[in-house]
Amino acid sequence: MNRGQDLDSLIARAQGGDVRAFELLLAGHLSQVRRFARAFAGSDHDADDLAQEALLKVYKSIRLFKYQSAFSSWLYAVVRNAFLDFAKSRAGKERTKEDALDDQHGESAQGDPAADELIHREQEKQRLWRALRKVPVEYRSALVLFDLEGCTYDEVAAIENVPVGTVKSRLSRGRAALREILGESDDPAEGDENHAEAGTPGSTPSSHLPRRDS
Amino acid sequence: MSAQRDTERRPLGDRLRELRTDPPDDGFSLSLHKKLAEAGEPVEPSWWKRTLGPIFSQPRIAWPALGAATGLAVVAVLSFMRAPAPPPAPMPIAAVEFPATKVAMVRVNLSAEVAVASAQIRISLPQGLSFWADGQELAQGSFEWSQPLSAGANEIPVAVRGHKPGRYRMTVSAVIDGRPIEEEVLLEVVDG
Repeated sequence: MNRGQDLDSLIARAQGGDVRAFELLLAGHLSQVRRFARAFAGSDHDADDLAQEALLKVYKSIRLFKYQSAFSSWLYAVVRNAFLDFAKSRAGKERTKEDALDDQHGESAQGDPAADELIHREQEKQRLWRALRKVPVEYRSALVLFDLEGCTYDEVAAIENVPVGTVKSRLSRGRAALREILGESDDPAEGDENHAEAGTPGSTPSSHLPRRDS
Repeated sequence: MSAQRDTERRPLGDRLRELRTDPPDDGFSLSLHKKLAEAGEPVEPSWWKRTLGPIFSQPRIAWPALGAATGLAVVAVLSFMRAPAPPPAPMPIAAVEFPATKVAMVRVNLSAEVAVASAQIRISLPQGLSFWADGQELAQGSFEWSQPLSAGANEIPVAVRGHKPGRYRMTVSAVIDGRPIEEEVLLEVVDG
């Protein structure tokens, strides 16, 4: 049985209510979905709850999957919609108090440069996550899928159900918004990155796995 | 602060990629498994979601496959009110024009003042028009199904293709609490 047939079999079984088959379908995607959720949840603490709610929606609606796209594209499209709905429902409510975006430079207890660097890196990551959560939702998922997760333009376009040109536009605006939130000016080094692959035909998307940078 | 300036000089993409680390499971899989087990079976989609959902949910893929026209808007509106009212005679609402080479997505809006537990809905096409789904023409000239209606708008997308130029009437009817309601949607197929 080849890989495609394995996937088809798992999908059919999951559509029949086989939870184990559904979990096997998710196996290669859980970390990515959890990271994706982290960009939309009110806090790191809530991210896993949000991810699970989205995956429940995927399971409940799996009978709607009719091979209209690659399974992974459909999966992330449903998950993304769940995150957008959550973000909209939060928009009108008082936001959960989050940590301030200001740097929280701690001090290494022993003044160890290597430890300092590790602490700084970790703080930077937390700062980036908090900033990502403030990027307008219409640009945020493109940023996460492309820049963070390494999906191709075509994969992001399939997930977001828009043309590649719209994906590029969302990325450009999302990056600009993120830099503004971080309080950083435009980085000349980003110019090439923003226009990378412009005019380049999209690569053949993989059916089930996102692009991974080497 | 020099470490911060060094960070800001690194391209944003590189910094975002560094966020791609796998979180520890910490009971996530077990918790998810419990929720899935308690969720019951996947939901059986309604007729129109089953037949037309793939088109409606993935128009970027479906439009090229169907050669669908763009710019078609909601046309038919069936209004249901609790107060008794004589059923209106069917009146064509508005002409929607699309070329014979394209598939039109007509969005039928069943507008209800109050929620309805179950409405029997029927959409019929005359000779010369066909329903379209999943990239192919459907043999049936009409579809009938039951579904609940929410208070407010209930939008049903219907993909239709005309075989030759002409004016056609699509009939949309609903039976709610035993009361029939019917409207006609005027569709005009043109050359092109």
